Amino acid sequence: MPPSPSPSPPRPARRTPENARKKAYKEQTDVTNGRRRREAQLLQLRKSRREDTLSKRRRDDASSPSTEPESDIGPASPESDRPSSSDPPPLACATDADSNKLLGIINGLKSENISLQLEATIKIRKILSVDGNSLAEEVITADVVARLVELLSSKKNLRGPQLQVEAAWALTNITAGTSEHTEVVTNAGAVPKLVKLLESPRSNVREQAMWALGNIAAESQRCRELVIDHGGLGQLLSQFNEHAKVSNLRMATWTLSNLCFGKLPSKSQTKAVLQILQQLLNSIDEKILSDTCWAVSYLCNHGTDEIQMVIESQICCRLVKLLMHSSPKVVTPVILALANVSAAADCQVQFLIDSGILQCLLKLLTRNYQKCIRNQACMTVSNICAGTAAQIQAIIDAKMVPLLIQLSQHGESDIKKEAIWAIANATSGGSPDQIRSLVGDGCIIALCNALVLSDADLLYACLNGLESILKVGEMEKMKDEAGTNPYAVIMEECGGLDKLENLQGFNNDAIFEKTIKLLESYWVEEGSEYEAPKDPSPDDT
Amino acid sequence: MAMEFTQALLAAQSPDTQTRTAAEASLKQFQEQNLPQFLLSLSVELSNEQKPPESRRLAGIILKNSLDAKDSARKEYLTQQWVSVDPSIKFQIKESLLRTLGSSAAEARHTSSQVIAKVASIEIPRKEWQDLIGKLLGNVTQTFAPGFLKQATLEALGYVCEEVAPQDLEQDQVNAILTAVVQGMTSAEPNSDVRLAAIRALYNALDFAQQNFENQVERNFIMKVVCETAVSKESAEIRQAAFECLVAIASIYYDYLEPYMQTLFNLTAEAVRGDEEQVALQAIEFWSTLAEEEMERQDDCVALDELNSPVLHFHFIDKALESLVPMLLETLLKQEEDQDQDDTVWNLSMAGGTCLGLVSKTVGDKVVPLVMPFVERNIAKADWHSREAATFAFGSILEGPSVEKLSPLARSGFEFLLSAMKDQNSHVRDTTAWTLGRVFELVHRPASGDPIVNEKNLPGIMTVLLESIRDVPNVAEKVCGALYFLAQGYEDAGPASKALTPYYESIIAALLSTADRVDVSNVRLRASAYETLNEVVRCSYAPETLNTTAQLLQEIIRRVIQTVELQVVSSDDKEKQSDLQALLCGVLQVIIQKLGSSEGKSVILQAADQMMMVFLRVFGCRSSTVHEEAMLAIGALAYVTGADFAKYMSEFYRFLEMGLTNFEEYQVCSISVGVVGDICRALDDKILPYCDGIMTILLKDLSNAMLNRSVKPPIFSCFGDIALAIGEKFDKYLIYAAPMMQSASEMCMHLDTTDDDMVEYINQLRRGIFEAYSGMLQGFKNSNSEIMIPYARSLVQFIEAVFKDNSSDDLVTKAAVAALGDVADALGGGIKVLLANSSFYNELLSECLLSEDYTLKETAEWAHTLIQHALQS
Repeated sequence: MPPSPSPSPPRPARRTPENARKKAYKEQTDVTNGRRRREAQLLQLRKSRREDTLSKRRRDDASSPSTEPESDIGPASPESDRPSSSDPPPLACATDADSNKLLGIINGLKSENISLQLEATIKIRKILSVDGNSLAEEVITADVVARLVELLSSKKNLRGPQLQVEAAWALTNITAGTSEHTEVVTNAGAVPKLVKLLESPRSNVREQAMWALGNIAAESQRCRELVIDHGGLGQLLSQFNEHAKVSNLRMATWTLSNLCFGKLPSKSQTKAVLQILQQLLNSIDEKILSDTCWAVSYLCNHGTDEIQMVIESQICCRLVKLLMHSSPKVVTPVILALANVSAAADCQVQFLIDSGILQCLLKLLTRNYQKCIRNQACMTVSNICAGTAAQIQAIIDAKMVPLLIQLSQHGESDIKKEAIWAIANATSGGSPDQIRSLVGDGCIIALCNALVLSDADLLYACLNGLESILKVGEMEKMKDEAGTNPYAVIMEECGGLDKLENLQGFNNDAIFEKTIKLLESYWVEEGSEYEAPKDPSPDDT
Repeated sequence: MAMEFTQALLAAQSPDTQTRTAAEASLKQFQEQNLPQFLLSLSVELSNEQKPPESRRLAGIILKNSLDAKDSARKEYLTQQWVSVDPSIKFQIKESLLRTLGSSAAEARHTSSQVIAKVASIEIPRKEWQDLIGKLLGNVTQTFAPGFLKQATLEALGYVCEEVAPQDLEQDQVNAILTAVVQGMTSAEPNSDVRLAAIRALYNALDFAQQNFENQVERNFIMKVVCETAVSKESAEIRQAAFECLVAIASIYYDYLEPYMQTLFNLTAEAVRGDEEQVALQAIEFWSTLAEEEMERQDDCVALDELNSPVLHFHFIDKALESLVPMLLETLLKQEEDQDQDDTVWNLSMAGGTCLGLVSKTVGDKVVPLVMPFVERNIAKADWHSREAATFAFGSILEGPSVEKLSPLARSGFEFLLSAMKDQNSHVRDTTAWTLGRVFELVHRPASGDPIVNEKNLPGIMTVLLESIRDVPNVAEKVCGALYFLAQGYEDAGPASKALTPYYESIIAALLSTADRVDVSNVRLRASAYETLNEVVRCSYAPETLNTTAQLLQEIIRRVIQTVELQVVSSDDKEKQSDLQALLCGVLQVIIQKLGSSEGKSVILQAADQMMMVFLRVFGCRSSTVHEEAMLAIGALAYVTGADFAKYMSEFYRFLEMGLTNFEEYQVCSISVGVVGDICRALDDKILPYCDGIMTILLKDLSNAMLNRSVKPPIFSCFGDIALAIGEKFDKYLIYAAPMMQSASEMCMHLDTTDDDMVEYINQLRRGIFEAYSGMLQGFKNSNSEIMIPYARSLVQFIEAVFKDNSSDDLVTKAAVAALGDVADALGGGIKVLLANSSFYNELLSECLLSEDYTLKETAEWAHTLIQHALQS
């Protein structure tokens, strides 16, 4: 094929010969450039088309010979990705010609000839997949939808599976629309039929059915229950087997996460789901992993029973590891889930600490993560700070306090608040030794600075923290020759006492009482204002 | 024979065809019957002082051509032929060549020194003719050797250095050559021809002087002699040759230049200001070369940053800037009348401006304050030389400095430049139009907050440009360039690109009539007009220009038909027709891509029949080959029409075949191979009826040793395209295609990876082979994947080999990983046997999973999952 390389390669031209230099004089585009660029553009186009063709094949299953890529609609995520109804696309009025076209399609749909049915279904699916298509509203009628649902059960013919896919696809597109649209679909009895399709031997049929069910489940708790009542959950869980293709697993995981968004009817169902999720957490596919973590985080939202089951399923250790995953799509649901777990009972929190969560949180808080992740991380820390003395000690040992103090002063407002909560919690619940250490890191100033906030709950927590600190200060006072409370002194010096006095005007009884109590216990003696003592030791440096 | 031989050589130069042909035939016969004797006779003829100069000349030429050729395959053949000649005959030939160096006939000496170098280029790398250098040096160092012998010998030494690679000479040989050459250059040598030959020989020997330049004493001596020669009083030719050496030293021995820079600056400045033009041009060339060298080093420093770059960079240009720039500016005032209408002119002002451009690219912003006072001082003077020089200076510094620095200057200069388009001197208008083009190319940023071209000044700009495009051809050509860059600025500028819409029609009209101008003596203006048209269409704001572009499409189709109907008599006519068709098909391709990817798709679909008809007629204008541009346009069209392209296939196929079989013009072949892929994607299995023919040709092309190798990787990719399109029907080609893929895979493992070009080629070949496998695996996946089992093992081995070879690039790795996934996808559990006892795939995948390239990572994840499933099934 290629010639063998010659023994001594020709030496490169050493200098720019005059005519090359001449070409550079008032250089402008020349023809050959245009030609080369056109060729390069076509090569680029060719390359990307080849990639497209191949990757379509790689995704595809045997029975879907020509799916059009332009009609792909990504799964709607439960919270936000639905097309928003407040922002309607510019709807052109359907013309007569359009109506005639539609009539033809509907006739095809209703015919008994499977080719005509298929053709019509594809056309409907395409109409539905274009945003703002004026015909979409006209297609979504009870009649048409009912017929599409019927076609879900067609299988007599060789092309049956294809028709099933197309019908399910069309329904998927409808369920991606408004709540009313979804209701038309559920009212037409689509759910049991879609669930039935999950038994299909064809993976692309199952995949499309899952997609539709996922969209339906995203709609409301009622819809989720409808899917579960028809055995959708069990069928869905059986999709997770070693023969499944990645694309199927992705779709199944996403649909499962949508079902987990609401509380599951029974504990045994939650358990079964957790078993699958536990396995999926080891997936290397980022999409699967992300949706699995979302499912876990939804479950953790439902209450302490679910959290206890999550802990029992022994996935927390894995979840903690996933905090260090490179993709925020994974880290976000994981930290949401763990934030929930950290709000549970002390023994549950201890699991997390034992799994090494603190080091991970430290990294999340110090590196350049998205704000919501850092915020949840900080909330998790403050939850842990509200735990036992041993847990507070773990926070101190992890060298987290200086970071919290820094965040309490310079963090973005939400994170700042969470950091103050963490400090208040730690000082309220810490042992005297721990409080001494916390004070050493600067907690008094941090709490005093927070006394100007307007959030009553947080203020109260800060006052509680300060109270614990001052109590420990009283113990110090006894050791101290001058007999002063060193922590009270720090409070005065940093202006904390002034802020405390201002709180007497705060319109909240609990806070008022706590403030008075503090002032009376530590400052107001003999009705005179306390004066700061002079520095007892001479400055000899 | 001897006399006959001379006669034959003379007769072969006879004006009479019959005599000439007969003589040529008899020479050829002699050559074929007894090559060694033939070569010997040639050398004897060349060396014989009694023979007429004409026969000696031809003998020398034939001898030279028997040793060397431009074509590398032919050269290799000639080399082998010489090597196999009997050593005693070779000895005699070489002796007579050396003898001829002392001939009294200048031409014979010159030819002989060339032939000696050709022989040396074959023998010295083979460690033969080891006494050549000694013998040549003997000629030079003889005290009483005649001047012409020394001169011819030095010339021979120079040529030998040019032909032989540095590693083929021993250092003591190099030292001796340099000593002899430098000796010949000094003023101790009385003969100026000898001195000239010596300095030219030094030029060629510089590549060998690495060690000598590393040594300070030797370096100082060489530099001293060269610098002295650069001011020698004898002849401009000698000084020019000395400056050529300095230019070469600037790029080869930059690292050692620092101590000499002050001297070199003075030398070049004196030459630029006072010496004859041929010397001054080389002095400017010294600075141009230095600027290029420093730009390259800047890039290297940046690229090697992390490695603590060992690249030296002295910033000579920067340091010399304050004296260098004024020197260059002075040269700009030395224009010649009408230089812009003559392509062959190269003078001081042109070289100076070009150098100023390079300097500006090297130092950036710093050049601006040094040039602007000159611009302002001269731009309005009465003498056109001043106005042109000022404009040229401004235009030359637009590349290098930051847009921020240039924007205010361009903004305030606009009005002036536009009015200068009406200057009475055409040279000034030419330079002004070029400068406007540079402003649009380099400073015009429509998407920025405060663009220099805005709604206020655009109308004025357009009025001037559309008027000036009717100026004399050389000015019109520059105006096309200005329009080109003005339009290009709006590429990807989003809605900002609407700005040109109001002028779209008039620009198109102006460009079309420019293309039609009859006063065009050079073809460049027509090409510029059409290329500018392409750019204007390509960068236009599609939603608003659709209708106009659709009309343009019809106009271009009409023009192509006109070319087909042209009367073609001479080969010149034919070439003109073909060039024009190339330009027009280029426009069609641009329109197809512009409209085909937007709401204008229906326009293309409606005109598809017409266009195909036009392309087929263009093809019809030629007999043996197809038109590249038309082929490219058809590829673009197939994407737009999709499966409907099938209706053109029966007529088009013949030309496709013609393109695919044209291995002499390999670009045509390469483009045609690409178009097969385009059509496969457009037609899917409708391409089936043509596959027998296409596959047969592609397989033949692959095994054709004469076909340029660059076409072979795309052929493999094309196998993949075909397999994807026709699926299981590919089975009958598999037994032919797969062995080709296997042997090419094996060959990849044994090619030389020290040569960068070869590595690039190997990687292309690897990608092509992987794409072929991927296409086939995916094509057979759903029906008949078992058919791939026999070939899967060699694919897996190939993947492993590629993984372990560190010369593969990321694209190859991606293609390899994808092919690995495809095996698992297609064969499922069948891969267990293939992957048993091997672990490389895990290493490969985990390496890719860590990659920062998102697509590579994704591909690896996909492949990993498939393999896991396959292994567990």
